[in-house]
Amino acid sequence: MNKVDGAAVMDQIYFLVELLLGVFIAGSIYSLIAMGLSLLWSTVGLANFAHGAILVVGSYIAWYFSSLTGVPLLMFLTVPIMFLIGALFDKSIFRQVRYKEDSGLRLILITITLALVIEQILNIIFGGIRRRIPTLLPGEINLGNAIIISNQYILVFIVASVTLIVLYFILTRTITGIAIRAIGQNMQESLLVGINVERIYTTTVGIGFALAGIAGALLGSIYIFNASFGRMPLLIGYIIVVLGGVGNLKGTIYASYLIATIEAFTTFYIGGSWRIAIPFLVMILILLIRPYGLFGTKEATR
Amino acid sequence: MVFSEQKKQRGRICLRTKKSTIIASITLILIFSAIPILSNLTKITIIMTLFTIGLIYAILAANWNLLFGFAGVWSLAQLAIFAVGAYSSALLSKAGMNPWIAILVGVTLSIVAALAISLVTLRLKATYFALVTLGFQEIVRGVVVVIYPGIIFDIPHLEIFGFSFDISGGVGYYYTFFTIFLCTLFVHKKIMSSYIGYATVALRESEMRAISLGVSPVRVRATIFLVSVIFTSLLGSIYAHYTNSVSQAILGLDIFLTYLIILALGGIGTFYGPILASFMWVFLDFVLRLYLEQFRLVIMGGIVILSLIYLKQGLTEIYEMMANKLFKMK
Repeated sequence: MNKVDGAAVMDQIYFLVELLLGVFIAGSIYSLIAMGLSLLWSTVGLANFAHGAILVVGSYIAWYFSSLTGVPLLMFLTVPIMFLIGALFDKSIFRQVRYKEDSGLRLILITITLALVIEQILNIIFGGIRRRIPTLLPGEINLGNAIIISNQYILVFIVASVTLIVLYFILTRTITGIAIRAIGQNMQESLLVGINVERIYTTTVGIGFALAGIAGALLGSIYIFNASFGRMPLLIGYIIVVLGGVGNLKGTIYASYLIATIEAFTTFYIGGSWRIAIPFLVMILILLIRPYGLFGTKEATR
Repeated sequence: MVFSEQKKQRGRICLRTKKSTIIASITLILIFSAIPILSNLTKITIIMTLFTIGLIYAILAANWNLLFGFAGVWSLAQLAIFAVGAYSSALLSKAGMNPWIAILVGVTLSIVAALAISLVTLRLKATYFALVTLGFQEIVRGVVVVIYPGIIFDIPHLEIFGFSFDISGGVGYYYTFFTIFLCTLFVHKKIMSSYIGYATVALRESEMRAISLGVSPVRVRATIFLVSVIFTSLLGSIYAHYTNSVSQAILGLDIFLTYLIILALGGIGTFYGPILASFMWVFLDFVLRLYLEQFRLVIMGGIVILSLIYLKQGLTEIYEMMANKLFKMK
């Protein structure tokens, strides 16, 4: 083995390491999106096709706070605002339909319409210009040799991970969180036990929207976005939910890193225009073999 | 539910008023056939254009409604199938192929795509199907951008024995769409009163019981899906020749909202509701476009959401309410 070959191999390895770092960051953001979708689907029974548009709303709110008010830390107000928007949507729209005939179809059509309308409103308000949330932490860290990673990416990774951990503790250690999961498993029995189902529904939609808002803020600070930016994350999020099993916390997290890996390798080795198609094909193939998802169990579908 | 009530009503009415139904439908067919003559005599060509668009809307909406309302197959890929038909027919006939053969190829392609989708996902829950078809739509959008970015112009017009369909404002196309429209109605009626139709309704009402009686959900749903796919892609491939140009706009949110509005206003699961709504919407939309261009989509979305929340069966419900009141006043 001569020296030149060795250098080429090292380059490949650096490249792979950078790819994997990217995968970790993308995967943690995807898991936020997918967790929101999964919670809404399993607990509220709402397949939210407006999640992408909601995510962009989050991006725009964060962008507004960070670039127009001059105090970037106000960005964290995105979370309560998105929670309130979610609760409002639930009370004003989803609750009206929930107990009606064909509520499943109606809810799906309503969320699709909502997505299109929200996109259109954002377009009218902000115009078609692509924007980007200004970076909070400029500069970059050199991890030896050729591997350089910017501070913003590390911040994004930390925020996403902390959010995930907090969410995990909320869902497993607090009464509200346990009630959310209980309704996901059996709505009738939760009613019987005395859980205020309507209130938990509203809270869940709020949490789902807040998660989407955080993901939107994080994505908006590393990519440029416009009103229709949310379509891709929506589809990726759904692929992850289906693979991870609806309502399955750990499965969702595993699946998001899996899909992020597939997406990254597709982008680099096949081409950027296939980055949604290949994960999709993978999902269809896995659904053929395991109709309840890669990490799901048979009962946990709803 | 909705369908069973309708079935009962129709059964009762059929015995008494069969003659009047036939007379009414013949009158409607005559009126529709006379519209090109009318518009050419009065020189107001917009009438025929609007009615042609109305027919296109009605065919697509009826096929979508067959899936949503009757079969419980939540397909969101109808526009993608329409686009597959339109693009393949347009590109092939521009490449020099006979337009009629190009249309056939377009329809075949969409059938293959539909079979691929349905065989994989129809055995899953309805929500998964909605999800997969939405993804299919995005993939078609991506593929279309890769194959032909921008607008395809100068698609050759259809012709039979030297008679171009484009003569005097597109009379040929009008009658073609009208024929497809009648075929759609006929086939849907036939399907709904055949084994497949009853099995579909049984599956929708109680899947477990239907399966226990020996109904195969995948086969039944795939059949219904294929029927609607054939009509939709046929419509798409002729549409490409009719408008003379095809762009990504046919996959746009504008068109999607239009169909949702037609379905929601007309009443999902009613037979004639979406058809009536499509003709109404064509004229309403014409006015909206003139006066409220920027907020048109938002208004449309608002109408869809409100009617999905508050109207059980859309206009059909309002019509029945009014009919009831009138009847009581007598």
